[in-house]
Amino acid sequence: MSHAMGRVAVVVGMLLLCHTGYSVSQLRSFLRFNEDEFTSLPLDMMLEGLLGVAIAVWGAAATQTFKEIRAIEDIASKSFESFLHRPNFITFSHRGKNLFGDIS
Amino acid sequence: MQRSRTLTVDKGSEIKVYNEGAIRHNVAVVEYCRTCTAVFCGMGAGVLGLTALYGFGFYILSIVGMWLLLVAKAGSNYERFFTSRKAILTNGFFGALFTYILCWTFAYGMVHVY
Repeated sequence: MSHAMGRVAVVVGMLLLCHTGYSVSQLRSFLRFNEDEFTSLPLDMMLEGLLGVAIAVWGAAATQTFKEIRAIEDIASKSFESFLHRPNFITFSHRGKNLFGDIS
Repeated sequence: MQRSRTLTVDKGSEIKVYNEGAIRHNVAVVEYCRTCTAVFCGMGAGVLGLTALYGFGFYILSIVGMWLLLVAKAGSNYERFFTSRKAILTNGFFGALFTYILCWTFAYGMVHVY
């Protein structure tokens, strides 16, 4: 489930919703012109709107990933010695060269 | 890898250690999903012409739907990702409500009032 597919789904859902909105506004102006009253929406427009919303929500939510919160899970697989390994704190400028270096 | 951990003592005998960065990440993901749901469902409610209580009912429906989606996504072993499933439902309820009302009135005005 890639992020690209989620974004495509959001765009498709929004296009469906915009199409529904356009249809509804056309219907409204038509009814206003004929001086009929607007009772309820036609079923196909309603379904199209709901489908657009559902696709957009799915596209936004389904591509997200959760992270494991129990720290035990990933420290259980490590050995004890690896906890002491802090590569950022290793220094190379110390007295070792003078203590253990060449015997001259 | 630098990581801060919070230590909590369970009611039982087990001590649970949580990865704080992961908890924060999951809460942020849920917040993002809730905002997206509020925006899309608000625009849907406006387009469909829902008024008054029907609109608020649709909001509650959309939030519960999002909750079910996220709980299904977390799976049966949800304790790997969340400490409480109910918190996903109730956390940002009124914040997302305002976002929903904003998009709802905007879409309604655009489509029905124009």
